[in-house]
Amino acid sequence: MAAGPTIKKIMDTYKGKIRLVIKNYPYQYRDYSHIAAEASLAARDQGKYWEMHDLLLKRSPKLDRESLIGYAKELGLDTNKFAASIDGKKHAQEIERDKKLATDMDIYNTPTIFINGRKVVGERPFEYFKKIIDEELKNEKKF
Amino acid sequence: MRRNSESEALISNHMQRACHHGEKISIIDDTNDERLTNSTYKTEAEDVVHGPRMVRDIRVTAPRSGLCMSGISDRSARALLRPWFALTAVFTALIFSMAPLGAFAGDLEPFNAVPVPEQNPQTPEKIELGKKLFFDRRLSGDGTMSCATCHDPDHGFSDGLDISLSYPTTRNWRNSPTLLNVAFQKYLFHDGRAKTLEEQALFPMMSAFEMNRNLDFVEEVIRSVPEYVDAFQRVFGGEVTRERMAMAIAAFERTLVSRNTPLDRYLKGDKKALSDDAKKGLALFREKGRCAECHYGFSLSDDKFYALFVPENPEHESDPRIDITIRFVAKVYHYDEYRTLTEDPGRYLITKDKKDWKAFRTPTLLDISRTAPYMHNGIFPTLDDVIEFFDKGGGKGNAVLKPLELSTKEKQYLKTFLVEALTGEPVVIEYPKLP
Amino acid sequence: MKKTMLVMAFFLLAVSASAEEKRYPVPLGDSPTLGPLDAPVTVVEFIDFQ
Repeated sequence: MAAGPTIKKIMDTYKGKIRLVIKNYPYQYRDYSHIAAEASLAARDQGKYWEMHDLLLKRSPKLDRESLIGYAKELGLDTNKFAASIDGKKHAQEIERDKKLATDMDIYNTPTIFINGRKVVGERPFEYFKKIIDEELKNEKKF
Repeated sequence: MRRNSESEALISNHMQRACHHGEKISIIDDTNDERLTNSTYKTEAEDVVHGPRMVRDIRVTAPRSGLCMSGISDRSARALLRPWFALTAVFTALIFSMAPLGAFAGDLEPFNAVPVPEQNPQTPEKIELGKKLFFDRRLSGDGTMSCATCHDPDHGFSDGLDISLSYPTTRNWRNSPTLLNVAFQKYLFHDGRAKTLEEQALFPMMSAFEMNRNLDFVEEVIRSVPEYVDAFQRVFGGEVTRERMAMAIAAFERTLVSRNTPLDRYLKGDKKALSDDAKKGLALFREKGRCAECHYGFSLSDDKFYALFVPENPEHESDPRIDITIRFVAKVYHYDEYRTLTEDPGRYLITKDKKDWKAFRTPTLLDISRTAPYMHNGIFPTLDDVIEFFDKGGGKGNAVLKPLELSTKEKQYLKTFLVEALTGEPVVIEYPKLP
Repeated sequence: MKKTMLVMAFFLLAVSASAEEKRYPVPLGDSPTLGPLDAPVTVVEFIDFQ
């Protein structure tokens, strides 16, 4: 689960004022969570992380191997390389590192979002984020 | 799915009713029947579960006894439901609502002890197990939520939203109440539909618009985790059951207490614990502001229900998902016109008593500065709004409150009291490592 | 004098309020990132695409 449309709206509203960083926290009980994370990083290797990221959110939960390769093709990626990457779990270590970070930080849900370190657990309306971000921007001006 | 949680809620209602009337539920312990050994509740009237009127006659078929546990654990609450007590309660409430100035103002009390039911004693291991379950998203249907999603330690065990978002694609209809001091509550939920934490804990899990988890299924999910199986064995000397899950979660929740508030120290004799302004606020709280008429005792709640007619939350109008929730709950509680219901009837849904129309439970005020927004529908973002509402004599047409005519200064003192005197030491949670 | 006291009290309140806002340090590492690296606000999302 991700806060797809909300995050998009945040990035559009606060253009140039926000840096977005993604950590993978695929849930062990979902069928395609891991392979989808692999797919996003495989696309990153070919310079199209954010395109794939957006597409995965849009097409979720249709995230089986064949569909993922289809998305790679759609984005004009080298599908052979892409397929080899997800089949070989090339980024497993990276993903495991993120997962360990999540459990070390006592994160139990996705999406969990940190805004300058302030934790927001689960889905929230845009206005909720807006309030926090506005506070952060105001604080920044003070110092 | 919906049908399942609905029937579960119906069964739960029925059991509750039967327990409270001291009746015996007909439980068929049919462990020879293979179809039933997987801990499946079956209702003989399953075909008519949608027909509200039939519920009384549903016989509950369950593989295990001990289902009344939660009901029995609170004798006084049970007694309240007996007709003569109920009559007295109605009478008292009537007097209450008409009483002139402070006639029934209750006393503020310092912290003494956390009430713990005999049937579910606290042990460190049980609390730890309950804490793990509390944070575990296995308890929700699609693994997106845990209890902590809407009862977040960082938000005073609430979620900071006026109305919780709840299960994806659904919407709750009320504000997530804080869990701080729930151990002291005689009624749980804004409408008091549960009387013990053990009983309460399962509701959100199976509720279609909260965690949407089938309880039969979640038992199997937890049984599939060896660490949990071991922990239940150690804590309860037996296997994972929904009742034990609820008991463990309740045990954890009883540890969430607002400790060492300045008011508490003050009531214990430390006259310096409150600033002068807070002391003025306390006097207003007890007298002119008439707050202590309902907010008294340690947790500052009389555990009663009042229709103050707070303004409706506009989201009830604008979010069609809330309509679905309203109708669903009304249906489960046999409200005849549930299909056309558009507002929140409050405790009326539970009691069908006219005086309970739009009545909600008096909440605790301890740690109130940590649990904004306020009221059952989160309509007031700040304590200033709340004080303003009470000063004006509550919502239009209510028969409970009268205008207070507090001066600006007095409102400030009152707020100082609420913020300064009622804020306890932060409840520090050591987050568990989940299996 | 009274005014300064008031201002100070307000300041103390403000400080204590912001002190209660818990902040968790999140190591960013080489994770996928969008937007200016020196942006005033950093949003980290722990994500599951499914």
